[in-house]
Amino acid sequence: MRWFIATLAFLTGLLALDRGISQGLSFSYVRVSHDDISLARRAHADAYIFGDSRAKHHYHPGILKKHCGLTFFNAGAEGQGILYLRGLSNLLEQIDQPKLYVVNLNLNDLMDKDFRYVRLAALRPYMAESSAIQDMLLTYGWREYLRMPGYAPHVMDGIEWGSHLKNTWKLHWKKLVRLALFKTFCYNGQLPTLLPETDSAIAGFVPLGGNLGSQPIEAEWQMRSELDLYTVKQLIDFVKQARQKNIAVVFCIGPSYREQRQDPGLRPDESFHLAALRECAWFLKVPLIEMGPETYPVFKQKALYQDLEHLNAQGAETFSEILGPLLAKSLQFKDSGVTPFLPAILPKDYVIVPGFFYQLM
Amino acid sequence: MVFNSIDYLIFFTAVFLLHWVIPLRWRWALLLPASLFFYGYWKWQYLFLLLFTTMIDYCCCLGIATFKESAAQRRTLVGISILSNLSILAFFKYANFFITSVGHLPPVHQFVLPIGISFYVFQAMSYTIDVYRGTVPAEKNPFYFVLFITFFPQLVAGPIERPGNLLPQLKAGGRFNPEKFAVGFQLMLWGFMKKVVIADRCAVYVDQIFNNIPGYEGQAILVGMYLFAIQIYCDFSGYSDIARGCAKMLGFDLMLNFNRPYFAENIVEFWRRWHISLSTWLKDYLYIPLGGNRKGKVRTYVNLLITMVLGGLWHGANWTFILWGFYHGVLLALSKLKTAALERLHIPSIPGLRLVGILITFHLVLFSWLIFRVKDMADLKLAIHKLLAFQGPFQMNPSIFFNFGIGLAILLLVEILQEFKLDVSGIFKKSPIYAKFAYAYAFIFLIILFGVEKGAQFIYFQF
Repeated sequence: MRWFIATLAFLTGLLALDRGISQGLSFSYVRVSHDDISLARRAHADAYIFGDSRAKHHYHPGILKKHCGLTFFNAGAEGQGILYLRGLSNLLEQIDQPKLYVVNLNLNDLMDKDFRYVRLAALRPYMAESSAIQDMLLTYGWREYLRMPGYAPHVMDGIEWGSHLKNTWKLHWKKLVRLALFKTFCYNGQLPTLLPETDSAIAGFVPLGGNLGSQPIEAEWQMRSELDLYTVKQLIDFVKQARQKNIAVVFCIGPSYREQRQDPGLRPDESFHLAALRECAWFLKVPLIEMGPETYPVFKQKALYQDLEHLNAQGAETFSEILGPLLAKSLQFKDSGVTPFLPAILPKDYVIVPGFFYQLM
Repeated sequence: MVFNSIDYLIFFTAVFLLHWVIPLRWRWALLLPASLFFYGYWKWQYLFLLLFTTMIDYCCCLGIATFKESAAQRRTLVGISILSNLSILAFFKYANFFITSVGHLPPVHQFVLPIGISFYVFQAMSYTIDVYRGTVPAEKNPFYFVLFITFFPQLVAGPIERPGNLLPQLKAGGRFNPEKFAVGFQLMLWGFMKKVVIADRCAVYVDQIFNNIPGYEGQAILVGMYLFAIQIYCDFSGYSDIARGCAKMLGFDLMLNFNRPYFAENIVEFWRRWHISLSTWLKDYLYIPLGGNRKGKVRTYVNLLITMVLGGLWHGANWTFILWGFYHGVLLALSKLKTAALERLHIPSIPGLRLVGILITFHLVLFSWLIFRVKDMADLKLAIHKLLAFQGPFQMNPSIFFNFGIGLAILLLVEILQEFKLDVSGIFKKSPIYAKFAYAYAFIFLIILFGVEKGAQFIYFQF
């Protein structure tokens, strides 16, 4: 009996602590967090630049404002991709009415399945506030139910527990386990974002210093060869949702330093990925601005890079000066129903194979 | 099934509750299927392999016990058992390596290496040899024997248990002991903290660097080596702690596998503290039968080299592991030479020299981790070249340090206190219940907030 009481006391204490800590963290995330999402939500800009670290380091908001007349906020985050922008845009639209989304895409963004789950962790603290985030998290199977209660009770309600409980034992024990969950888990790995950031990080744009080393060696990077349908679907939903809210969307593919290769052009796998992105943009009727060194030879200059994938401050200024007018031009097409691919002269090998995205739409 | 998964937590909770509910004499009937389920959860097909080898060992050992008077028959049976174990190990683990790298031929099979094969094969061999030597009696009950080999907490990554320790415990069972449960729970949390908070966070950078040695300069590689030293220790000793903790909660005591190895003053001491179950296995079943130190100095060093090279090969089929073993063999031989020289010269121990010894030993081991972790010999050569050039700089995301820094600080503090003979677990045992609760809460929330949920598998699973 003594041990039964002790166990009960332990579990009660655990539950109380869990609730207490999660309340404290929830409060912190709303008010003092310096994570990328929290900063973006406090920016109240006209235009947001989504994507990975390049979205943070390449787009100079001052220069872009000069060309487009809009205030920009760099809402990119290290290593993030389409799922992140889907969740973040959903959060932003609840508190703001942005005018433009610029999406910095990497060639492998539509194939990038491996790190999906890891990346979604950044969105967990906000899952109570976004149905898009809840939907994405729930695709990861029953373990995500363990983190849902209290944060998203309506999601749990929508699962028709009553009928399933009668038919499947699986859902039955899920519900039981649900009682023993940790709300604090939403903040797993996220606490460093509570630390204060630099002013430039708070401002969004973080220009990179330094230059590419003297003897750069390309990392071996094997891209996947098939599209990740789930990621593609999220991109489509993102564009659809933006359209509903009358927000313009522009895709942009940034430059990489490829001159160290024997053949500095695109590899076959990269060409395949580029074709997929073009096809995607075509069917979504979203302007796609290709800023690679093939289109703009200025980006073949080593002096503009901090490393193989990132421009330095000088590179970011050059990039933004070129992008600004193109962005302004793409906004003019917004309501015309025409899909402009910029620059206007398409590359010779430009091929669109209708089929895949058409079916998804 | 891996320890750091929700699946395991549910599995273990169910086994734990049932274990203490069902009568003592039927506990094997729970633990045996549970262990097989634990292993089969990964690939059920390999259960047949596991059971096949186990049954060969069981039959051979029964035969050895039956033919007490016939030395030839006993030798034949022990030979069959050892040969069958080593053949399976050779086929799954080494055949492709030797055929492709030595014979320059295509691989002979495409099978995935069965998880933990080196561990359970060594455990089975220790049983056969002990029965042959007469140090333990042959187990008549096949269920207890299979349970000894497959006991789930230590099945896939050790500790490599000896029959004299585990088998009697499995048969005797015991009553629920709250104190033992609390210590086991503490050990389990400690192991989880090491694995998911420290090792898996380090793994992010370690993998990034070691999977692309050409892309990094010397400073980055050095940082990667330090991080890997932390990772492999926390990963493997974390596994052992979880295994020992789970076993303790079920009423069983597994052997200590790590004893703060990075505080070793010399390389001999390091091997007394690192992967103790393997190093003692190699000593008892390989080094001593080879002659140990009884056949002169030269032979002692040769035996050391043979033992360590085979120990290296045990880790995996790659020239890097063989070199790793050879390197440790040379270090052990040099360490013995140094000790002998110091004794001859009657050099007294100097205060502060212990710290110097610890630092030197750690850095000698650190270099061995480079050999251990690189993909192949070409990467090793390149990494050494870059280390000597020592160029930089290397930028790391400080948030990574924040996430594992707290765990690492606690680990260091506890190990330093233990090294200064402060009985941390004794203090835990004597502390009042609310203090025990506080300890558990602190670690649970540390794991929840800073752990990597879908982290890497345990490194030693591949061996």
